[in-house]
Amino acid sequence: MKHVILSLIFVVASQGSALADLVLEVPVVEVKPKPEDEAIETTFVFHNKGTKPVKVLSIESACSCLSATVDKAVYAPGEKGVGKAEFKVSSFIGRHEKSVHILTDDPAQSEWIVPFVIEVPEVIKIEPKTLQWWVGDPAEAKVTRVTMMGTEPMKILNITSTREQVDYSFKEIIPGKEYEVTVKPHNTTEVILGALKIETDSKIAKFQRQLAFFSIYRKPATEAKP
Amino acid sequence: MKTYLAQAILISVLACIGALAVFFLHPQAPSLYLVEEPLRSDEVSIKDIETRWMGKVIWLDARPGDQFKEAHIPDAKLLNEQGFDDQLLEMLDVLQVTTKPIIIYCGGQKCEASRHVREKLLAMVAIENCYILKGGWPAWVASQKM
Repeated sequence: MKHVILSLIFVVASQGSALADLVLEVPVVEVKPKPEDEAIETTFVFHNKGTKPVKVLSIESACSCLSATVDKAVYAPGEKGVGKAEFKVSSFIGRHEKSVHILTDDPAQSEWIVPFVIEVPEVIKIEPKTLQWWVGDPAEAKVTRVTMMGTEPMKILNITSTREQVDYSFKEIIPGKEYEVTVKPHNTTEVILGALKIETDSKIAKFQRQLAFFSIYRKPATEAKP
Repeated sequence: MKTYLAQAILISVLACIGALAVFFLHPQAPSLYLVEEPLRSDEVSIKDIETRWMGKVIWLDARPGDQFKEAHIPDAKLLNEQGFDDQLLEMLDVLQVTTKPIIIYCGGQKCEASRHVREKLLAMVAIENCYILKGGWPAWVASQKM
């Protein structure tokens, strides 16, 4: 009977006890690029807090903007690992939550998700980004506000439209800081999708041309607000 | 001999009970078999695209530009999060005249890019039939081998 009890203890204790457990040193990896950055690299430290070695099989990213690598293929119990991640800033602005998925050979942690929070400074804010009318709406003027969010003042030099079926103009509200752009369609009888190309005197190339959009579109049967 | 046999059976039974307990109670216990996830309200499958629209849709590829250049669904247009504004500008003419459904795909089931692109696109143009391809690019590649 004694042997049976010992065997029982062994069997129960062995169930699920050998686990890998990759854990980040921080709850979330924070990435803070500068306005002029095209891409930014960061590192993240993690540990295998489990009781068995874990092998990294592959790394997948939920966003094409974020890629990651780790320094080894296999991490022993208690071992520290370092990952490298690169975020391509491109046209992202504001706060973004992204993640990479690290696939391992441990069935209990077959997918380890590494969360990232990326804060890209908003240098030029266009609100709303799209001016919308439904087909058949009154062809009234609508306004979008362009705000220069950085410390340096920035001016709008010129605006052009990709469509001739709208009139547009801009005026300075606060010099170098805030502008109002007004768009008025000639009519709303047909679908028109267009853009305003806004040229600025920004010293950073990617902010020298911004886009705002306008749309005259069919009202969806299931939705009622423009 | 009988005792050994009884003990062996008992140990096996206990092992099974332990394994079952782990399977039912462990929060990360793997499934015994694969079950296909149901479609979300904004998703369509390759089969749906064939049966509902006979494949006559506009494809938007939400993957990175280099993957798009390597290979993409025939006639697909690139529209990803990184180059969204400029790429959308390039396709305004197409979106203005089309009445075909728009299907967005990205790199796979775990990829969220197509959902983000769809949200951004719908915020600008109130397209009624705009869906995400379930399984993304790998699902389309697999469908071509069948």
